[in-house]
Amino acid sequence: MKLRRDPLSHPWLFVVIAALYACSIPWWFGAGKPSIILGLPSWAVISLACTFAVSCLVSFAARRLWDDGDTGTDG
Amino acid sequence: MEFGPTVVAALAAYIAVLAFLGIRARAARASESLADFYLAGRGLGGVVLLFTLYATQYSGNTLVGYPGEAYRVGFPWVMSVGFMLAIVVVYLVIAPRLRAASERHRFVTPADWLDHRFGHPGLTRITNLVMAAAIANYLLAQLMAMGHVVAGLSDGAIPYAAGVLVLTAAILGYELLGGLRAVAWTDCLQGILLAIGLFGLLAATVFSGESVGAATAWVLENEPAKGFRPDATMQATWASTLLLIGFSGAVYPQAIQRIFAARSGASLRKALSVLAFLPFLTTLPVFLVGILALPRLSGLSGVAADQVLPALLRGWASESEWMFWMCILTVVGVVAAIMSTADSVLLTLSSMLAKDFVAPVLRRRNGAVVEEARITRIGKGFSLAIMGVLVAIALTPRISLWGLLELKMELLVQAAPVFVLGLTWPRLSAKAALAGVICGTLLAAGLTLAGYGKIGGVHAGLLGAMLNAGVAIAGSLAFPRRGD
Repeated sequence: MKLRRDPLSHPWLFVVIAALYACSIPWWFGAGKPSIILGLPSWAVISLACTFAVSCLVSFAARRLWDDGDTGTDG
Repeated sequence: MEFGPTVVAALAAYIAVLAFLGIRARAARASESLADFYLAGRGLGGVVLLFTLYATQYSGNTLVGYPGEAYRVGFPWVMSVGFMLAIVVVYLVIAPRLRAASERHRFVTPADWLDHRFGHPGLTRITNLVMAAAIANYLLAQLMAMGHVVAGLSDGAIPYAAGVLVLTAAILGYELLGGLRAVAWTDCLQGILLAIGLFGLLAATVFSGESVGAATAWVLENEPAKGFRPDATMQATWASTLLLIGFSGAVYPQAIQRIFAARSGASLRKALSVLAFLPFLTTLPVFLVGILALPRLSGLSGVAADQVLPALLRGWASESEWMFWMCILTVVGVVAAIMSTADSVLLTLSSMLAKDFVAPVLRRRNGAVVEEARITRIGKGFSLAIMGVLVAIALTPRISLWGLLELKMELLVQAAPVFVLGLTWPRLSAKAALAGVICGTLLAAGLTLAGYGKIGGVHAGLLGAMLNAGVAIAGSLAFPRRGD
């Protein structure tokens, strides 16, 4: 089996993931009392949204950016 | 109906099903080869692979420890969703190349890849030793967690020692019968129970009438440090945890063996594409439970972090019959989560000891090929011996080894530069990688054992891994291999 393409051949993917992770840490948020969105502090909601975007990217990369020519049975 | 005795009955039924799966897995074996016993004949399909990766990654600590951490730290613990996902991000880097190489060279243990890539026995041995020490500690922690959780959640109906002994015997039973096939099948059951347990937890939360919004408002009013933006040190810890867990979780030897055990590339790709969303279905609800506990348990002084979940469950179980059964399901889910991690670690550890440490000695001594069936038997002997030693330690109170228990992720992450750089950077040399592992391990272990688990919010393990990678890269550039 020869690896034809893997996620590492798409550096943009890891740049975007790193940027999303950086945004998931609320260093950019003001020090005052946060508002409540969906029952959580606003900074926590934005953090979760960034993390969910990473989940979507990882799932996409696993299915579409990784080609080892193996389409065998997946049981 | 009483909570404690019902927990005992539910656990007994669960262990009976595990024994049945172990017997079925034994019947399904094709041979006594290492690949059949330790890699399920390289036949794990997408669904089983997903469940076994899930059940292996999410341990009892996820269900018991994380609500406690959310209770202790507050909203910054939302980082737990991100750091469990970070493991899958690192899989994207290493899994495609590891999988392709293992297809060609039929690896069984991580050391097989190290030998193939570097051909340096010293590097293989030291890296293997670091990984084995880390996961042995991890296994000990799981055994102790089994005892504490069963004793705590059964209202003392099952004493700590009985919990450790009975559940250890159950794990040994199905594992010795069916190897990874039994472990992966029981992981499916354990993964389903874990999901049901989480559903139970969420249902219990919803039906208890507590709302996350009200808890958040209470936290912002009464404990603002847990609800406002985290300070600079906590932000550094957040970033450090993402990197530490991401890199160390991805090079768990048991996780690497599952990459080798996948039936096809397609199975692995599909499993990882779903695994990427599971932190939202596992870690996020557990985090919310910890947040809900903040106002509920605020009146109780001295609630230890790991007692948060048992305290909540006991409270909820007494509210209605529906809640009672949801809490019973949660308890079984918690025990399943611990056992599914412990069995995977045990199987991998015994395979590493038998194949990577003992088999080469036998080969040197006998000067001939050692039968795989014999190495498999030796591995089974190691499983018994490892559990014997670790159970003895777990049952010995106040043993002076507790400091070593801290050394899990700190040690494991030292193997990450070897795998990540070794798979992505052809110029990495064996000697530089070995120097990196030694320097990183000494720094991480030294700082942790000296009481400096974190410096400026950054974990000692991550500092060690940064030194490790720096030495490996600088050494490879300064002393390139011939031909580079």
